[in-house]
Amino acid sequence: MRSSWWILSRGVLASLVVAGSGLLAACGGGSSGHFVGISGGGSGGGGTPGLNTVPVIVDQGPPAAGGSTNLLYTTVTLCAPGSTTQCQTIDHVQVDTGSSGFRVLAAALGTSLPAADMPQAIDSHGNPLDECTQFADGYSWGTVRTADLVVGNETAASLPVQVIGDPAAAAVPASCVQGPAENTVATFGANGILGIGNFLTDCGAACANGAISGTYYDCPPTGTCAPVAVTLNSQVQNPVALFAADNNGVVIDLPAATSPTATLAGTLIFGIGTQSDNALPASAGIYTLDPTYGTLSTTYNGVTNASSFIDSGSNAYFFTDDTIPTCTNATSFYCPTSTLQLQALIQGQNGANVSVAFSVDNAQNDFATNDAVLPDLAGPAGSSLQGAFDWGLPFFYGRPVYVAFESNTAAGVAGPWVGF
Amino acid sequence: MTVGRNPARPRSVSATRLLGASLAGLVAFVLARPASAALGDTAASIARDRIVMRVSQSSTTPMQSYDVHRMVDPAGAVVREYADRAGNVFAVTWHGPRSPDLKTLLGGYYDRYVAAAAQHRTGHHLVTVHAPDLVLSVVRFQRVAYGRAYLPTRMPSGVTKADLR
Repeated sequence: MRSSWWILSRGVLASLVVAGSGLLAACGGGSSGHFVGISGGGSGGGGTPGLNTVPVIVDQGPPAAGGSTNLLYTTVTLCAPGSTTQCQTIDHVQVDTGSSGFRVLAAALGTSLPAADMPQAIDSHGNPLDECTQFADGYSWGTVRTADLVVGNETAASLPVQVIGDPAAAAVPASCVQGPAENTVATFGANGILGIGNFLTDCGAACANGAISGTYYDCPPTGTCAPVAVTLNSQVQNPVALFAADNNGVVIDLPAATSPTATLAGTLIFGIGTQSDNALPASAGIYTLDPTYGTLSTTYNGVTNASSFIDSGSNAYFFTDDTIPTCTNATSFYCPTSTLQLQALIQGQNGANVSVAFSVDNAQNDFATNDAVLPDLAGPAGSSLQGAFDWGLPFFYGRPVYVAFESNTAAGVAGPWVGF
Repeated sequence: MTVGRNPARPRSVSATRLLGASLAGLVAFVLARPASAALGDTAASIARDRIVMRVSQSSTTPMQSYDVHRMVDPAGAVVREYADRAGNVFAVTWHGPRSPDLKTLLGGYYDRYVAAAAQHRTGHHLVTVHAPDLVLSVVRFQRVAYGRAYLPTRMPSGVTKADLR
């Protein structure tokens, strides 16, 4: 069951009507014609009211991925820099607050935008720049290219992006390989990933100051790739931060889900406090994050997990409770005999804290529904002291979550922070 | 450092060396695959491990029934390896801006991690294994990477997972 905007988004280029909001989205546009009324100046300046949103949906994911649960997707348009004709609309791009940067699977690029239309980045040695992205569940290898990314009605122009599985990339260096390869839509689980976490770049100062294995690679036309330092501006960037307006953070706004359902449609809003639709309500708290790592603290059952996080890219609550049985088959998840009502305390570096209630039900029963939206899905984190409490996408159901970027101020508080 | 048997681990206390100093001066830490913990494998793996992990600092803290070997890799990941009195590594932990080399660190258990990760059931930022003989978690979120792997059946008596920092 796909919403109408979803089907429409499969069309090529041209304008498309976003059902439900009546917004008009067009591809590319080097001019500022799309952004009438941009105030600019200062972080998070407001753009055109009401045009700072894009629909998002939790569904089964791209058919090639064979089904997914509790993962959030949107549709974007990728264009050659400055072009309004060399463009490709890409559906089932995962919306991820656990990473920064836009990455597209080469296989998701059609004939209207071959990878070669997006110029490959050249590194400090004058050679093609490739990138390795190491996730917890595998690695993705590809080129770094420059493109214009259109999300809803906002554009990140001349954005360094990663093209995963790009045939033009060099052979994968051994130092990139950690876990299985995720260079196809089937293994990656999406046609791309829209990394809109708290950081402005994917690696940051560490990669600007030195060559680090498993990140950026200098790949001469002949010979093998070697790690290379890359300046901040040339690193793969959080695209929202490059929007002309509404660029100080994002809001993920999903309706509540109380039982397994097939899909859940919501809205990704750009900017915080820049327009009437993204003001942080007075009832919400601001929880600042560790500026190096992007983590906060969560105390559960008397144990404080200092490296916890709120992550749209995780598909369940992951935490440690040895009294809850793990499932017989799906051992990465909990299978209590009856639904548990639990709570944990989230605390930011600023000392602000809040008790959050959540439910955990039987994951095997959940999976048996074949539904994509499983609001009470949870599993063990495998860590205790100084470890993880991973508030995955179920945390976002029925609760707008505000993600403020580093080096920006939103709602009067310097990022990085998370608000809800 | 590999989870599992470690038959020839030298002892050293509070040694700190910078990368670039003589490798011979570094505390040797031994890579030994559980399935093939032969002496010949160990000698070869020591040299490989020094090169692969490029440890810049290391120290050892003796506990009542085990030793904690702490090391820092070039990217700043703090790695701790827990070895019992017989020299068998029963746990490893790590935390830092980037993950250490998991293939080296997990040794013969690396393939178990790969198999779990390939199921793609938990998203891109966390992978876990919960089996009677292996508990493992790998986390990569924003700019932090951390994790832990331990062998429940090989923990020294009285040691719990809460002891693994």
